[in-house]
Amino acid sequence: MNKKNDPEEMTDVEISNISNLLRSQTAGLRFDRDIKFVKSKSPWAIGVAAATVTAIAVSLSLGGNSVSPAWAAEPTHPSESDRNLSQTSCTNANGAGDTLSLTQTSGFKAIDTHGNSTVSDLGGTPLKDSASTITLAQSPKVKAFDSRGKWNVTIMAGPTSNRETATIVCVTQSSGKGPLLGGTSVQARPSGSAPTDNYIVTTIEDGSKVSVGYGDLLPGAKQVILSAKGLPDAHASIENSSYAIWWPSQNSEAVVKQLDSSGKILETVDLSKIGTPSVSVLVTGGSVNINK
Amino acid sequence: MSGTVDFESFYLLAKDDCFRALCVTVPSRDEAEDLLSEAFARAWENWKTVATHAAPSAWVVRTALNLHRDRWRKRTNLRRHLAFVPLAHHDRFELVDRTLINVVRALPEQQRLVVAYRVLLDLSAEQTAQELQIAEGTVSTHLKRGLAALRIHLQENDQILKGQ
Repeated sequence: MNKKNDPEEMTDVEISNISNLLRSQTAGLRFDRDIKFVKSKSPWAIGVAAATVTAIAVSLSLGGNSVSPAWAAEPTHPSESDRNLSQTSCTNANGAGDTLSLTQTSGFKAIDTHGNSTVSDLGGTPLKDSASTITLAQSPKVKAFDSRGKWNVTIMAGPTSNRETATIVCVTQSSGKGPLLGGTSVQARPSGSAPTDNYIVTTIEDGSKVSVGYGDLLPGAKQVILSAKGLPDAHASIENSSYAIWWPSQNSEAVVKQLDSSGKILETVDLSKIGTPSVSVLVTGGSVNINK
Repeated sequence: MSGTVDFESFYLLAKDDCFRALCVTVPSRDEAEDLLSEAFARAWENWKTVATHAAPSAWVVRTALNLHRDRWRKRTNLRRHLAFVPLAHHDRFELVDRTLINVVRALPEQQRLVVAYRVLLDLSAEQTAQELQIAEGTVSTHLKRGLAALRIHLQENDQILKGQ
């Protein structure tokens, strides 16, 4: 046997690379049958011989578990152009190049996880009327993007000149068009700090509250589920080892679970108990605060 | 907070991974879909038990493969075809590398299953060993042999494996 093809000569790197290649090459395989599961008095009657198990729908319909047209438990996949529009709206609202300068956006204000709505409540620096500016060492990159219902959420991050990581949260129309309607927050934390889950609540122009949860995926995490009181469990959007999800705020009770591929829960975070230090949502009047 | 997820969450999380694992272990995509549908129906009916399984996705795949074996025994005249049936062009694998899947399908059964469980279901060596009722060392051996076959295929097709 050619030594190079000897299985015993395979390195861990080779095993990992080939495994990853197989995963990527089969990623296009998706189980797309529309199955609805029901409880049946004779479960096996629908079974073995039937090619399609598609049982009759009674109670549980999987997927598209929409509470209202304005929101859905499953994220949608907007076109690339709509996604780009959302990101452009976000970056335009925050200035050009490496400088972030939030523009005036009326009609919403920041509320932290405890319901506080003023800057001082958050322990941050009181903001000036004019827009504050922070400078990034390089242009921010998109960390996560969540599109469902009427809003898109874009999470961007980039290093600041102070060697912190600034995270920018933008809420835009789901069409991606138009000015920033929801809100933008900027949070900065020391580079290399532990992965965090973050949670903000902002008030949209129409007076409704929108919550946004986002954070870093734990190693091995394949799915993030939000359990918010009054809403069905919802799946967050995942990309770049980050997750993001927005939902209509009804109260502060929300839990985020990260699960591995077998469905095992790796972490459960009660967002309502996230302390102020991890939240810096200071967008009243379009100002920016860096939570050092 | 419960230590297990509800069936709906599990289904949405696991269905694609289970499907990929079945696609490399049974003869056709259509059969994989049939088997997986049946297996998920059984998981749904037995969710209280399945939810406590160390790897519910493995339970589903194992159930599907058991169903496949039951059918296989009933169709002995087809037996010679079932060990390895190359994907036909009309088989609906638009977005994947057919030849790579065929290489996996051509592996001996134990290697094929180990690759499916370890790589596509992302089970640990311990979980895979439990599911297949073999030793962990055997899992490692089968995985290496299976991936070595893939490596040969990739080398022949000049696909670069970065990091070698």
